Amino acid sequence: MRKFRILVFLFLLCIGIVSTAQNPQGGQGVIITVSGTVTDATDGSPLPGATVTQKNTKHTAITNVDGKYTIKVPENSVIVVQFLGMIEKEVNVGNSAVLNITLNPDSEMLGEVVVTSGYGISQKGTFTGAASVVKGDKLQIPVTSFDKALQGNASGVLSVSNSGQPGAGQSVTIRGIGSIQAGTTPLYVVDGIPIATGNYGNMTQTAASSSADNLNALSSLNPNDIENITVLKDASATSIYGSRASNGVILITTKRGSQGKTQFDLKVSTGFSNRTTKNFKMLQKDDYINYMTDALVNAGYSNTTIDVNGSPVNSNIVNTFPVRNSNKDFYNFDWDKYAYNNNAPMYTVDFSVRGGNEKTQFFTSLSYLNQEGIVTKTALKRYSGRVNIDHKINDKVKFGVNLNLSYNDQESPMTTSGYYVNPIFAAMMYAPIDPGVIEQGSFLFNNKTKGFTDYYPENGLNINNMVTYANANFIANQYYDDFSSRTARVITGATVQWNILDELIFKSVAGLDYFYLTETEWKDPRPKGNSASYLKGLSETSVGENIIWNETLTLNYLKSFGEHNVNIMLGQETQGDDYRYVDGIKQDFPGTDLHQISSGSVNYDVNGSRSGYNMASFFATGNYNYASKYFLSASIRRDGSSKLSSDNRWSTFWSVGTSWRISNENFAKNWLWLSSATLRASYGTTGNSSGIGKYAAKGLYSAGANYNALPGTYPSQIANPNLSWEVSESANIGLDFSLLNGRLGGTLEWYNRNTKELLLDMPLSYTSGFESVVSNVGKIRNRGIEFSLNARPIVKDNFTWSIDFNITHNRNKVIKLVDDNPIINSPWIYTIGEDIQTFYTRPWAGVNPADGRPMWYDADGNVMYNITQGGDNRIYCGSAAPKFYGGLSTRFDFYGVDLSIMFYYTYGNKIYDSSWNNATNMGYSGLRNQHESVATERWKNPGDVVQFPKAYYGYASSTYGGYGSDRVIFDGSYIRLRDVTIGYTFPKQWMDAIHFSSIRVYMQASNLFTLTTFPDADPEVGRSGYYYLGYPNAKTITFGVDFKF
Amino acid sequence: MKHIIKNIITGIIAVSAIPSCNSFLDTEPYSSISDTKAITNYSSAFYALTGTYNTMQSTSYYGRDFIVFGDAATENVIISPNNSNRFIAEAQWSISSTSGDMLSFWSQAYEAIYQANKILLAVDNIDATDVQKAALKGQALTIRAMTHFNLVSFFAQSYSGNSSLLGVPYMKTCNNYDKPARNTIQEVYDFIIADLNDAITNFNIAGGSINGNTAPYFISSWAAKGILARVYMAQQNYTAASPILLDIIKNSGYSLLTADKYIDAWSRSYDNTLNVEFIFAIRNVADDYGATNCLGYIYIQGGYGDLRAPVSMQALYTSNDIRKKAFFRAGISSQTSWTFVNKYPGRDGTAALSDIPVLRLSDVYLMYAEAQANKGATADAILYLDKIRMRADADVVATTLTISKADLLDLIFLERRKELAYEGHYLFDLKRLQKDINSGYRSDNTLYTTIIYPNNLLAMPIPQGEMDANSNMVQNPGY
Repeated sequence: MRKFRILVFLFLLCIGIVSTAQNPQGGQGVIITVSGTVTDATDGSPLPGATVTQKNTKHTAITNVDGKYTIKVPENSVIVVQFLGMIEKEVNVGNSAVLNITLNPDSEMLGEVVVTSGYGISQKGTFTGAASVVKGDKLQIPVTSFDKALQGNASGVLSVSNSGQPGAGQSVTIRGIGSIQAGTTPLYVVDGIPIATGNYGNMTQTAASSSADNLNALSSLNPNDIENITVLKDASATSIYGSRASNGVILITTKRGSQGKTQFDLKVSTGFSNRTTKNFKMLQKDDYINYMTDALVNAGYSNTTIDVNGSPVNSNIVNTFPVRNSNKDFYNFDWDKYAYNNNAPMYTVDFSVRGGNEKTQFFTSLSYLNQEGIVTKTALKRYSGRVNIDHKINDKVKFGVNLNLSYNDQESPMTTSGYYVNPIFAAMMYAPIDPGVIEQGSFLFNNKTKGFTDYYPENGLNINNMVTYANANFIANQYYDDFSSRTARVITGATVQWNILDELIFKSVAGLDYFYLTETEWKDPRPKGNSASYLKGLSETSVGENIIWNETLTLNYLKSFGEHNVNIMLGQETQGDDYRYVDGIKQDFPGTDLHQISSGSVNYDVNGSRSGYNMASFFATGNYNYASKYFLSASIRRDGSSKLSSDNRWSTFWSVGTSWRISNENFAKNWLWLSSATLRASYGTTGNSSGIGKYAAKGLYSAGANYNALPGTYPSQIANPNLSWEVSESANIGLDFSLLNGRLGGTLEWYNRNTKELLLDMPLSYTSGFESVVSNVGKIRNRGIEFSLNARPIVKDNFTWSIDFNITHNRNKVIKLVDDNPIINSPWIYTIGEDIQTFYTRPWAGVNPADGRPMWYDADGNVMYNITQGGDNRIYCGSAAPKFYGGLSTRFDFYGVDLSIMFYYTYGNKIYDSSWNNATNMGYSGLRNQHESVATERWKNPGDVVQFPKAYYGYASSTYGGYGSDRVIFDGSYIRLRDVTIGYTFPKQWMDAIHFSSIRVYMQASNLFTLTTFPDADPEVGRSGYYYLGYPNAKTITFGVDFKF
Repeated sequence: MKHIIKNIITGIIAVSAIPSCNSFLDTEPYSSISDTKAITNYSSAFYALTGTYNTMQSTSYYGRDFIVFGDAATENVIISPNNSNRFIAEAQWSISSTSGDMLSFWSQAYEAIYQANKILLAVDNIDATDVQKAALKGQALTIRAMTHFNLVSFFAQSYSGNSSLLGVPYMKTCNNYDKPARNTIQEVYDFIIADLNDAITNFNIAGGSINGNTAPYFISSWAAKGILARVYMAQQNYTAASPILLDIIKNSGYSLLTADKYIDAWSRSYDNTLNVEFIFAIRNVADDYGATNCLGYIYIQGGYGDLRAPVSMQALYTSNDIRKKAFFRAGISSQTSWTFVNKYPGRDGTAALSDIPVLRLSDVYLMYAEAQANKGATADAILYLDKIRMRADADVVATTLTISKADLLDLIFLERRKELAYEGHYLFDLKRLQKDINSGYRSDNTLYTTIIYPNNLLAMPIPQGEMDANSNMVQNPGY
């Protein structure tokens, strides 16, 4: 304690010494008015919020949103122009009235970046909110959508892949899950235009884990077009987005043109993908036969044997699996081989041009991506183009236009035609002695006289049509069926800015996000085991279109009164959303060549509908700062949504924020070790009405409940006249610092977010005719700490080394529920005091060594053998939410060679592995294959102390070992080498000779290795933590060249 | 130039002001209407009634599950060795409260009741004639009563055992937020009988007309009476059942299928020439056709073929019995050692597209025979029993009048099993008569288990979802 006091004393002493070391000195002479524009030397863009200070005085002006400033100073005095991230410049004003100043970026300054905050731009130092910025270079990894690149690159942002399908979705969660029922997806805004996210497909996809969205709307944006991504996290930053901002806001700024030489950039890459691990293996022939024999005999089936190729095999197995190879033996068929691709190729080409003059600047790009998936017959092709133009009409008025066009063509797993033809399922569950493809000389055991003819001869493969399990064989479906989707999308926006006065700026933004999604599926009649086989072919086409439009008007007033700088904005915004689709299915096709629905002769089903909602908002913000040291901001926003009940649809959200730029204090000026430091605090509210139905408050009858070919109606929804917004109240305290000339920087944040009036399906007694009703009940708290650190240990001309690290801890807690009753959403529970993703299931007590029966603990801790006895004995089994997660990346630049490495880690999250449950359920699901460990780890003889119970064909559901228990809950922690890139940029002098600006070649590897104890294929199973036959993530290696000229 | 810009900007402001008024936020759904406007006149009430039948037709109710329960839990079926996992728990008697089948049947049944209640609560105030209102009420009341009857038969012990045990909640209101407790079996039966009598009164007002909605696919007065008789049979109240059943036999106008049309009737559409004995059936048309979710798909070889015909079941029929041809079909290809249930093979070339009988005249004959036999009216009982027996096989020996009451009842019981096989009756017949129940067969032709009466397992578990949501719900003992 005493030591501590001494330290404090010394510290205070230092401050004293430093602050007395000032040397005030004023200018003299005739006062003149100087005005001009401060711009970025690299691209000519104006720098708003730069400070222009008369040297050695406190006399300061701040540039407006166009980078313009006006300051009254004595003739021949020196002004100091500062902008964070730029090298400070001192200029003698002489006697000029107009003085335009360009600043060069300070490449050594880290942790000081420009934040694109709601409806405007500010420097991080002047910003009272919490935000993370991900620069475009972090997006240079081979991803199909930019949300995947957020993983590990921004603190407070949990980005988890839902599925390895190319073009599939990603769950992005900012600062914990704040809602149960309403949406938890952040608001995505591209150049001021809110865009659609999520899965808009109509046709059901059952392949991946339960939360998967195989069609990700964000995959239509080309990551190469993105300049940077700003993640707004606290209420001070997001409140201006009001009712849509409760889950945070992700602002995407695309690249823009710049004055000067026209720059061309051509990037070409190619690569290949594989599964991250192939360690998950199933039983092979002999082990399967042993296991199945045990299962049958234990279940009371006869133990008589029949000789197969000299070995006695249980007669039930012999009869059930009749196909023999030419050696008169069972097959040992490798289903896995047919389900997965090895070395699935990918190609990308990206070409962009940027340039312009003082009046007009442009950025244009064209790109092509073709990625095949690691599951057979899955792929994504994307074609996209962008045009961004900015033009100054005159000194007062300018406008900008952005246009993004894209076309995605996605081939998805063959999962819609039935569960059993899902390749991931098949690879796991089909018996190895049940071949999918047969070779010459095969025959049927129980029809010995004839050769085996029941197969499809195709491309040299003879596909077995006799697969025992559900009579389905996914290999046949792979050959004959098709499922694909195409998305054409336009995201466009226009901005007009009119500087009515120097201090008064009017801005209008209008935008449109439109997409048109077509899904087509052909189910061939030849493969057995699904309805298409007797419906003589099924063809489905679904077409959906979605429009989101919005318009915003703002009026900005910026004025400095001495050291008082004021910025006030008034605004209004409206938004509309309109979705419609039509879906048609026909059956009975002439033969198998014609697949379009017009070729079918009988209608199977036709559907179509339309829905939409509107939002209207009014808002105001105020920002004040004193001498660029003390910042105060406040915002208020009133939002109305058509989704909510008419009495409760309007609500007001607000925020206040303050920051103290310690480094601008005089006493800090001479702390040479301190480059900058800002302390921030904020509090505010935001709302949420996403994720609930577009007409959620209304009691509804819907049509379509037809009977006897007569139209019928049915009650489809209960009215909730009290339905209102879900509201988040968040507090944030943050510290941004930059030390040692910016060589070491970082941010520390603490937050507390209470979400109340939770939109939640309140369960109803089924006797009410309904399962549940959406209500405002409950409260959830997310509280956490984020820390990010960046360092540049080596900064030399030809050698630099940088390190970025971030870590986030979030603690989620349910505070209040309907009558405080827990809600069981098996295998999860929402209950007071626990994390919202807590698993809730029965405690597994292992296997009885005496008789091999599975055991559970009942509520009193006694062993029991039947889960239906002993009451509800479920317990809390940990949460799917990580306790910590983050990323570590480092980069070396050494004489033209660049090496970057990035790790992503997550710690303390649990996975409920339903796949594992199926793979080790010891005969509950009949003939299904089991995991290879079942060969040795199942109970066989009294005294065996093993992991799995005795095999038993057709376990009763209440007594089988696979019954939901914590046996299948695993630690989901992992560290993954997310990215390794090594590149070489050819020397400048070589380039001059061939008139290129630069050429870089590189090699890149994603997901190269993963450290985990999770036994299944891939620990990245999606945010829900529930894994069932999901599409695993890929390991990708890419080679590329980047030409600039 | 400046003016143009100013004009444009003024325009933008003016346009943006339009949506600010509140009507911009009053959006109406495109594919639904407000529930307060849903039932206002005869035609909209009839749409709601049609929607109620549609719920009864769902896979979880009459569309498949409820019908399958009645056979899958008995020795009428043998489980296929390569089954799709469906109905195994029922065949094994290993059902638990978390079985999906339990919840889906429970919720669909109560949804149908809710829909019927919505109509009943609105019908007095709609724009319709008294006759129209009576026709709507008669059908809605019957749906409510028969659905509660199905629920109490399944989720509670039999009435004949101890009617003071817990039944199921009897729902007459549409208060979605209620958490009703279970009524006793006695109370549930009292409500059912009251509703059915009320329904019959309304059908009388409606003049026997059901407003152009063709029986047997909509409930008629005769269907309501037949269901009422079935309820009395479950109460072993033969005195009450008997006259109703005789009324149907004599006056309804339905007649037994003749032997020459019998086989066709099970494989072709029950059109007006073939439907002669179907008093109420659930209609399936091509548009409803859920393919793999059809009742027949569980049984036929071209479908799941999960539940098959055990040898012992086939042995009940004489070799000339027309039902043997109508109900069973030998396996082909690799399945030649199996016999499949072919009662719902589909029609018009569409596999498993079949209508589902809920009440047919053969059932009424056999119920009447049973009621009369119990009352000691042996001759009458034999008359109607033998009509069913001899239609199936003209060569069988007529039942002798000297037969003992017990033997006669056994014979009637056997004939019910044979005639109504795979129509979802056998389990409930065993239960109401307090007989022991042999479970389904394993694929090696041995029984999983035998349920000795009395037995807790006979009252199926209240679904866990209901237990979780309704604090007033009490679980059945043994689950």
